[in-house]
Formats: sequence, structure tokens, C-alpha cells
Amino acid sequence: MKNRLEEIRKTRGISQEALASELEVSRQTIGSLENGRYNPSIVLAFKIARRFGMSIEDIFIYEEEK
Amino acid sequence: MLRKKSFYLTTLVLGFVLVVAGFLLKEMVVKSIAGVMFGVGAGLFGMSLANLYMKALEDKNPEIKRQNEIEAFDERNTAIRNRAKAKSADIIQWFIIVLGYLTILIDAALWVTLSTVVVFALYHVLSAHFTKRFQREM
Repeated sequence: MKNRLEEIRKTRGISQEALASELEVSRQTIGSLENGRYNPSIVLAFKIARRFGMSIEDIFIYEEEK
Repeated sequence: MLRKKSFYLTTLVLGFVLVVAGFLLKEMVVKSIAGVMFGVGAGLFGMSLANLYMKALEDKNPEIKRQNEIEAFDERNTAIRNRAKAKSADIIQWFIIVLGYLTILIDAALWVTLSTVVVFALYHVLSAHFTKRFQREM
């Protein structure tokens, strides 16, 4: 699953550390999410979406497997 | 550092008691039992001391405490830990089989070989138990 987390975070001028602290996750989790190595739980996806005032679909892009 | 200070104080005392008991009883009971008491006690004592030190450090620095809690509850860390545990258990089961065959090769007592078989069977029983339980829960 792709996501626009890094782009959105940078646009808002928030560091990975600050975002991690706000969401109460580790900085490595934010890094892994941005790299697409880790897909968040639905709870964390909601937390991220709410933090940026967006919908989950605006941040996370689900693509059907071919 | 998710356990309370009282837990580590209890294990510290228990570890100390075991070390002292192991030392005092080495002449009175079977030497190997005293050795086990000494080993377990020393391990428990050391672990408790290290954790109490970490607790003291956390008390002085709330930021470290918060960070440690975040690291412990972080969903990715939890997933990684669970995956690592499952993978390790999968690998260990094959070592247990090898160990079982080794005990046959070295002509070990039957109960030793049977113990490895029991441990191997226990792994599968527990695995089936938890699969069923998690199927109910999830």
C-alpha cells in the first residue's frame, strides 16, 4: 500500500520525531510507514488521518494486487 | 519498564534469598539443586537490580519513561516482537527434534529422549490451543 504521509508531513513542516510523539508511536514506525515497509493498523491510520484533518483515503492509497 | 517497582523489589529479595539458600544448603541438599538455586537466584538478583536502576532513571527523567512506554506499546514494535517470537519457536522445534535424535545416538536414558518428545508434542499442543483461542477472540 502506498501513502502520502511523508509528503503531507513535510508540507506541514512537522518532523518525524514530533509526529511520532504526537501519535505515541516510535520514530522508526513513522519512517517505516513513509517508506511503505509497514502498513499501519486501522487505529493508527485513523489517528494519522485525524492528525492532518484528512480522510484515510487521502493519505493511504490502496491498489488492487495484479 | 512496564512492571511496577514492587515487582522488581520482590524478585530482588527472592533472588537474594535463593543465592543465600543455595550457598547455605550446598552441603545439606543435593549439590546440583543448590547450584540451580544459586544460578537462578543470581540471575533474578541481577535482572531485578538492572530493572530497578532503569526505574530510578525513569523517575528522574519522565521523558525517558514516556519514550520507553511508547517503544513498548508501539504497534510496529509489538508486531516485530511477536513475529520474531513465532519464528524463533518454529526454528527451536526443529532443534528439539535434532536433540531427541542426539539423545538416542549417545545412548542417553530413555526418559531423556522421551522428554524431548514431550517438549516437541507440547509445542504443537500449545500452538493448536492458541490458534483455537485466537480464532475465538479475533
